[in-house]
Amino acid sequence: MHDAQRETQDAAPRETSVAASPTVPRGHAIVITSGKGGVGKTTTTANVGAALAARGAKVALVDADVGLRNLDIVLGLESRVRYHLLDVIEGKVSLEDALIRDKRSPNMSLLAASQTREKDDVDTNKMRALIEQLRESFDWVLIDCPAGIEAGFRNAVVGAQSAIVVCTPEVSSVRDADRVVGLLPQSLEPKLIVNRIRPHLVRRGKMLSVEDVNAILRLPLLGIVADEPEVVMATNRGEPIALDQRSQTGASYRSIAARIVGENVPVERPRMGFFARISALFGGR
Amino acid sequence: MFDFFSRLFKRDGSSATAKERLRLVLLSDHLSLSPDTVEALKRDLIEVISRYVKVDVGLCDVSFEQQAATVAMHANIPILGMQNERPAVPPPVYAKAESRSGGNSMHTSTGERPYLDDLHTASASSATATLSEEAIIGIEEANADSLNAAEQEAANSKRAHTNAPSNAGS
Repeated sequence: MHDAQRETQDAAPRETSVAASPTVPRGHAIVITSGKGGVGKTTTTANVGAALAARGAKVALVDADVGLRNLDIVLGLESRVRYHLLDVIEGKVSLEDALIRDKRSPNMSLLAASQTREKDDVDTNKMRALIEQLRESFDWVLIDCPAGIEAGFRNAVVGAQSAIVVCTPEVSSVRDADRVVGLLPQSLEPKLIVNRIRPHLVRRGKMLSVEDVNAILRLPLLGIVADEPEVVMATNRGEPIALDQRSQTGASYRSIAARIVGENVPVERPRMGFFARISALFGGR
Repeated sequence: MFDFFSRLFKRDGSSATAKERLRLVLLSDHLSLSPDTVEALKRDLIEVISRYVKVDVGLCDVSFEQQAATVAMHANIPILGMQNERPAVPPPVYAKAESRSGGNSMHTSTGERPYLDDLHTASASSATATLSEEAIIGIEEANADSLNAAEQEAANSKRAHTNAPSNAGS
């Protein structure tokens, strides 16, 4: 893309970010991974992407979960998927034709995963080249990594310059995150998002705290996201909660986006939500 | 009603259990992931023991296994007899090792380090009585303070799953 366009679109100056390179490709690819499934990788990808796009950056989201396409659903774009990742990799369609522009933020585009294919069908070198190509036209390329540590994981990681590890405060999630951190190249400098924290349970010693989790993983903390019903409701509608200005969880994602672009925003601790407070009053969940 | 109040005031919940289980499972994960490290450990162990007694290298066996509250290292090292001379290599400075133990120190199950002289006086009988001695070396549970110290140390060092056992517990 052109510098003039970039300056108008990129509301947040990125001089402190890692990818501020004047040469092509200019963008920065981040893989969102976790090892364990069901911890919120896809939700995190959609919301961090939406929050970055809302700041004016050009964002591409890549669903690397070949065979189990989901990111389109979370974004509410499922009816508009015509072509997918493997169509591009195999040269059937151009990248431009396969990218789906988001209906709310024109800055954000999605490259959907193939639903009828398998993870082994993706050529690692071609995947790297594809991410490289996306970085030429987008400021941020977010890659939604599949669960597991097999071929799909390797393909999702191969084109990335940095990594976000999503972990929930559960023994199984922390264990898998620990394994994934050991498998990620050091150069990706993984950062941690602790997802689905329930502050009242942590306070009562019934849930691992962010500190407990990070005592094991020892990663720079990128953000904390509370386990709130509003996230489920937003996903039901296919609307990223990050765009809801009244939502506390949305604010968590927006502050994560701010830190990604290099702003010095402290990681805020989620307060107990209304329902959680009522619930805690009556003995908690 | 009692249940309501007990839940309301109980602060010692299941997260402590989760933490402990996590610590153990990761210790086990890290150990089982590094056969090279286990092999190196076995080699060094045999080398050190060989300074004092003659061992049957071919029959030495070192393994790790998870027990109720710890991960234990079992070293089965058959002893053939005493070394005739005192070790040429001076023993390592125990005082130094002792001062920074706390964390994930290893010590023999007796808790006492055998002194060379004791070994010599007791050697005749024990060497003939048992050709094989099994030393169970437990990797002791780290207490909270020293765990933090170990974490700091580990954070600085390069992260790898082929950590030496001294790092694996943190």
